[in-house]
Amino acid sequence: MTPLIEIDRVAKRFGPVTALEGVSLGIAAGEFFALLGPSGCGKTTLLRILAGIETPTAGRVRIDGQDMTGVPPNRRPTNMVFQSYAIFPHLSVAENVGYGLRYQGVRGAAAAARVEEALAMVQMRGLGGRAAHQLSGGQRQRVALARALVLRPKVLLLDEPLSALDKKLREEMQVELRALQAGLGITFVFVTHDQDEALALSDRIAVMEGGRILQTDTPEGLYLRPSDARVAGFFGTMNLIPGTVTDPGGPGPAELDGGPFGRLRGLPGPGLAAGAAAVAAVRPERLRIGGAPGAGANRLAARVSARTFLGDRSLVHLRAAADGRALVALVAHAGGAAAPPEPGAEVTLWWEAASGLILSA
Amino acid sequence: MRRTAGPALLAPAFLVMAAALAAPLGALVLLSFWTQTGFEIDRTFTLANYWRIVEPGPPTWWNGIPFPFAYPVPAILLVKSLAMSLTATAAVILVAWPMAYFLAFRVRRGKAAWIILLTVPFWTSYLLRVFSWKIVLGYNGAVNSGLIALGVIGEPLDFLLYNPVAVMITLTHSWIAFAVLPIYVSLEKIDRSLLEAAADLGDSRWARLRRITLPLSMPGTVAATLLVFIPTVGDYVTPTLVGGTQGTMIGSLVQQLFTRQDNAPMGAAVSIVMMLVIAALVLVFLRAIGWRRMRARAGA
Repeated sequence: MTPLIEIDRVAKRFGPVTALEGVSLGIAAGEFFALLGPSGCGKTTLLRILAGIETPTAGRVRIDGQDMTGVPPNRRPTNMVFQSYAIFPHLSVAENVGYGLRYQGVRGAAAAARVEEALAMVQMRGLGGRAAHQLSGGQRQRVALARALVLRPKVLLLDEPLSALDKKLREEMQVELRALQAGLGITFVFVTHDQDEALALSDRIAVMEGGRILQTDTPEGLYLRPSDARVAGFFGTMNLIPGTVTDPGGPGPAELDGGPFGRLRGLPGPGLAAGAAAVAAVRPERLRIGGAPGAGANRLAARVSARTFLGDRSLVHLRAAADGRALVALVAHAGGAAAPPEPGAEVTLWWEAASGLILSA
Repeated sequence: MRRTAGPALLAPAFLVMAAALAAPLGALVLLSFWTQTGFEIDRTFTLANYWRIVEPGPPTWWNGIPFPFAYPVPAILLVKSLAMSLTATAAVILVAWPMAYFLAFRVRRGKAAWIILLTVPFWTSYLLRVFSWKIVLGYNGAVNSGLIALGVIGEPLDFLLYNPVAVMITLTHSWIAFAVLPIYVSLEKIDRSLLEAAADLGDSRWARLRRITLPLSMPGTVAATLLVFIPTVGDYVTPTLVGGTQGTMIGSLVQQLFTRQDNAPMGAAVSIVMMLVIAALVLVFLRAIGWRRMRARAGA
C-alpha cells in the first residue's frame, strides 16, 4: 500500500542556510505521526512544505497520490494548526471556525451546523458568539483545532500545538488530541521538540537533526533499537562507551574495541563498518551489578558514587574504573533481591551481549 | 511620586495646548458673538452672525443643489469644501494604501531608508510644495510645455490650473505621506501567520486581502482618513495659490472675512460652524464603521 503522504528527497535552502537536505518519508493514512527534533532541525520547515506555505528547493511531495508541486495551500487537502494559533482577531469564534467552509460550498444554516459540530468536538459548544480577544490560551488552541477540522482535511498538520499551554492543560489536551484523532481517523502530522509528548501521542516518530531524519520508527522501536548514538541519547537514559568497530557482526553480535574497557559486544545497529568509530550502548535497566556474569557477557569495573531510592527500584550512579566515565544502572528490588551496593563500593558491572547495542557514532 | 508623575508628564503639553489652542479658540468663540460696526466691534452678546449663516431666503442654485439662504456663500463653500476635501482624502487613501502595503509586506531590507524617503517632500515648506504645482500645471508650466514639445497639443491647456481639480491634486500630493505612516503601522502589526492561516483555510490572494489584511488595517486607515480630511476642509493656502476664483474653499472665505471684508466676528462664526460640522461628520463616520468595536479588538 502506498502511503498517504510521500515525501521524496525534499530539500530546502534559505539563502546560504540549508534547512532540509534530501528528506524522504512515507506517512500512512490514519497515522498519528510526529516530527521530533531540537529547534532548527528543519521539522517546522518540513511541516510548512506539506502545507504548501513553503516550496521545497528540490524534491517533491505527493499526498494521496497527487503531486503537490506548485499547488498553493488553499488547494491542498491539508489544514494546519499554527503554533501561535493564528486566530483572526476581528472575527468571532464561529466566524473563525467557519472561515474556510465557503470554499467547500457550505453556507448558511449548513455552515452554522458544521461550525457547531466542530465546536462540540473540541468541547466549546455554544461559545461561537465569543470574540477572539475574550478567549483563554487553551480555548484559542481549541478554536484553531476546530477551524482546521471543520474542513475535514485528509491531513491535519500541527505545529508545536501544545507548547504554549501550561503543563496541566498540555496533558489534558494530549489525551483529547489522541481521542480526536482516533475518532476521526484523520492523519495527524505534528511537530514537537518534546520527546515525552512525541512518545505519548504518536504511532510513529521521525527524529530529525540538522535537516536530516536520523530515524523513523514506533516509540518502542526508537527506545529499543535506536539506529545511532544520537537517537539513543534522545530517548531516555543510555550508557554509552566509545570505541572502534572490530567486527560489524550481523547476524551475530558486533564487537567493539573500547580501549581501556576492552572488547565489548552487542547487537549491531545499522551502518557499522570495521575500523569505524562506534559506541557500545546499554540501557540502565539492562545493567547488572555483581552476581554471576555469563560466559559471553560484557563486564567492567566501577565504583558506586551515589544511590537514589525509587521505591520498587533504585537508581545507582557509578564511575567506570577505566576512565571515570559516569554510568547509570537501574536495579529492581523485586523478590527480595540483594540491596544495591553502598556508595564507595567497588563493583563489577555486566550485561549480556544481547542486552546491549553497538551503534555507529 | 506615582500620583504626581502623571500630571507632571502632562503639564508641558497641557500648557502649550492651553496657550496655543484653547485660549485662541475661546477668543474665537467670544468674537463670534460680537458684531462689527464699521471700524468698531460691538461687544454686546448676539447670535446675529450665526443667524446670518442660516437665515432663510430665496434659493441660490449651485451645481443643481438649492441653497435656500439669504446669504448662501458660507453654506455653498462649506459643502464645496467638504466635497473637495472628501475627494482628496479618498484619493490620498487610494494612493497611500498600496504604498503602505508595499512598505509593510514587500520591503525586507532598508525599511528605514524608505520611510526617510517618504518624508523628503517635507524638507521644503508646505508653501513651496504647493507653489511648485503652479510650475507643473501653469500656462507655461511643465505639463503644457512637455505636451507642446511632444506635439500632442498646439496651444497650452488653460484648464489645468486655477480650478477645483488643481486644488484636489495639490491637496492629495501634500497629504499622502501623512496617510502612509499610520496605514503602514497597522499593516506592519498584522501577524503574518494570520495570512498563512487564511491561505491554508482556502483563501486566494485577493480573498486574503479582502477578508484579513483590509479589515485589520482599518484602525490605521481610519486614522489616516481623519488625519487628512479634518485639516484639508479648512485649508486656504492651496486654494489661494492654485484654486483661482473657481477653486475657493471655506478657508478662503474665513480669511477674506477677517482681512479684506473686515468682519472678524462673522469670520469667527463661519469658523466655528465649520468646526462643528466637521466634528459632527467625524462622529457619524466613526459610529458608522463601529470604531469602538475596532478599538476593543486592537487592544486584545
